[in-house]
Amino acid sequence: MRRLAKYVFPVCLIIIGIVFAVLGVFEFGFWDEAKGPMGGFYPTLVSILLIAMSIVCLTLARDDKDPKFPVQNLLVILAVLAIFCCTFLIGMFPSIFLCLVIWLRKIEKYSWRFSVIFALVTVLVFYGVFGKWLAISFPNGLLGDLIFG
Amino acid sequence: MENLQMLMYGFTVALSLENISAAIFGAVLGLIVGALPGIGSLAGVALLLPLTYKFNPTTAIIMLGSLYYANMFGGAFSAILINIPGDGPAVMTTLDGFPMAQKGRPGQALFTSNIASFIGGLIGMFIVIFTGPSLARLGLNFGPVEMAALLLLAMTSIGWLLGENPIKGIVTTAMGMLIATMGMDAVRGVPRYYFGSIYLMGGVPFVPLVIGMVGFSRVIGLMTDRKSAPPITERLHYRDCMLTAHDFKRLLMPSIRAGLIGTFIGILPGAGATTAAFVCYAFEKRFKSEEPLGTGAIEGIAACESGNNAAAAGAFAPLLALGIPGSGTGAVLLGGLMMWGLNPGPLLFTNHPDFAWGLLASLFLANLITLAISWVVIPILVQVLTVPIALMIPVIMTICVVGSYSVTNSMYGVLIMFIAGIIGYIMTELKYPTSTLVLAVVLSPIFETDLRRAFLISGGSPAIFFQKPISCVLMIAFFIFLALPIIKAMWKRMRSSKGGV
Repeated sequence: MRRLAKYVFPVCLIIIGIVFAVLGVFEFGFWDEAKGPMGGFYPTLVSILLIAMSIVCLTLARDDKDPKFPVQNLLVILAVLAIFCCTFLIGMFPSIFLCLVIWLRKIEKYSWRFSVIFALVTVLVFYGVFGKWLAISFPNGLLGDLIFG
Repeated sequence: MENLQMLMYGFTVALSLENISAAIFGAVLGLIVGALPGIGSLAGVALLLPLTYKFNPTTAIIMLGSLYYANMFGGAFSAILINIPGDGPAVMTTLDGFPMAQKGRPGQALFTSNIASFIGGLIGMFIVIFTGPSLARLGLNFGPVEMAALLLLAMTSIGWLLGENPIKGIVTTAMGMLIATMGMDAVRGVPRYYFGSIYLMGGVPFVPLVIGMVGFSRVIGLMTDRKSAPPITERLHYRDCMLTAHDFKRLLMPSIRAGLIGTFIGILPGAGATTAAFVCYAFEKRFKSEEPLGTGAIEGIAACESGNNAAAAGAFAPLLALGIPGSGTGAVLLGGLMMWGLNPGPLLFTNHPDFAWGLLASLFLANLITLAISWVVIPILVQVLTVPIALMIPVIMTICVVGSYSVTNSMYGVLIMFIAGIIGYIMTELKYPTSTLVLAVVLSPIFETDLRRAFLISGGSPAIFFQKPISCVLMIAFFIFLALPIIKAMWKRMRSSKGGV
C-alpha cells in the first residue's frame, strides 16, 4: 500500500483537477461575451495545468523511491486527533495537558513526576501567552460549560 | 540621497521602545527556533505568526522580519555543533562548520558564522535601500498584463528551483493556486468551490494552512529522528568564541564577495537564501583559502553564511516593492502583511512610507541586535541543542493546535491545520515541495485578479501578453522555466532506459 502512494497521490490530484475544471466550466462559468472571464476561468486553467503535470508525475512515478511512512509517525496524528475530540468534552487546555502527560509517560518513558510538571508548565505558558496576553477565549468543552456555566 | 533621508525617517519609526522590544523579542525567538534542528525558518515564522496579533502592523512585521533574520543566524548553530542544519540555507554551513568544530574550535566557528551573517546582511540591506524604491518606481509602470506575467514567472521559477523534481514543484504550485480559489471570487464577489460549507465560503484560512503544511507535517516527520539526534555535552564560554585578527582577515573578503552575490540572488524572484548559500560557496571555491574548503575553513563558513543572510535581506526588495516573495518564508511574511491590511507593491513606499522605511530601518537594527544577542547567548543556545527531539515533538505539536485555534477563534482552524499537516507530510515523503504551495496560496489571488483584468482588456486574446515588451520578455522566460524541467525529466528517463538496454 505504501509503495502505491507515489501513484495514488498524482491520481488524486488528477481527480481533484477534473472536479475543479468541471465545476469551473459548468457551474461558475468560463467566459461571458459581455463580462469577460468568469469565476471558473482561472480555476479551470489551473486545473488543466494540474492535470497535465500530475499525468507527467504519474508516468515518472516508477522511477521515484518508495516512501516509508513509518507507523510511529501516525502517533502524532492520533495525538492531535485526540486533542481535537477531547476539546469538545473537557476543553482545550485540559486536553493538551492530558495528551502531554500521556505522551511523555507512555511514549517517551519519562517519569510521572517529570511528565506532569513538564505538561503543567507548558500548558501554563500557553495559557499565559494565548489566553491572557493575546486574550483569546479557548473552548471549555461540555464539562467546562457545565462547571463554569 | 533621498533614499538615505527616508532611511533616517525610517529609523525614527523603528527606534520607538515598542518596535525595539519587538525586534529584540523576534531576534531571541528566531535564534532559538533557528538553532533547533529541523524546524527551519518557514515553520518557525509560521508557528510564531499568531503571536504578532497583539501588535500594530508595523511592530508586528518588524518582529517577524527580525525573527526571519535571526533564524538565518540561528540555523548555523546546529549545523556547526551537531552537523544537522537548522534550516535549508545552513546545509552548506555543515561542510566547513562541523569540521571546524571537530578541530576543537566550535566557538570560533559559531562566531565566524555570526560575523559573516552580519556583514552579508549589512551589504544586503544597503543594496535594498537603493534597489527597493527603484523597483517600486519600475513597478508603477506595470499594468495588469505585466503583473500577471511577472507573478506567473515568479510562481513557476520557484517551483523550478526547489526540490529534486521541478515538475513536482509546478504540481504543488497548481495545488496552492486551486486552494486559493476556494471561497469568495475576489473579482465578482460571489462564493465558489465552497462545497456547501459555510466555513469554506470565507476561503481556507492562511495561517492554519501554513502551520499545518510546514509545521505540523514537520513534527510528524520528526518522529523518525527522535532517537537519532546526537546529544551535545560540551559547554562553551565567551573566551572560546574570540577570533584573532588573522581569523577576521580571513573571513572579511569571502563575506563581502558572498554578500554582494547573495543580495543579487535574493532580489531575483524565486531564488532564496538556500540557493544563495550554494552559489556563494561554489563561487568561493574559485579563490585561494588557507585551508581547503570542506575541511573546516573559515572562508567556507563565511561565504555561505554571508550569502544566505544577504539573500534574506535582498528578498525584501521584490517583496516590498512588487509584492513578490523570494521564498516560502517571504510568502508567509507577505501573508502576514496582507492580514494587517497592507498590500505590498509599487505604492507601498508612497502610501505607507512609515511602514516601508520603518521596516527597512528595523532590519538594520535587527542585524545589529541579532549579532549582539547571538554572541551573548552562544552558551545558552548551545544548551538549547541539548533539548531532546523527544521533548520538542509534543510541545511543537501542541503549539500547532493552540496557534491554529487562536487565529480563527474556532476549531475549524485546528481542523484545517490537521488536514494540511497530513497532506504536507504525505507530500514531503513523496518529495513534493510544500513551500511552493504556500507561495502560490499567497500570490494566486493577486495573480487571478490581474490575469482576468488582462483578458478583459484583450477580449480574451492571450496575444496581449506578447504585445508589450516587458510582459513579452517575462512570458518567454516563463515558457523556458515551464519547458525545461519537462525536457530535463524526459531526457533523464530516455538516458536511463537506454542505459538499461
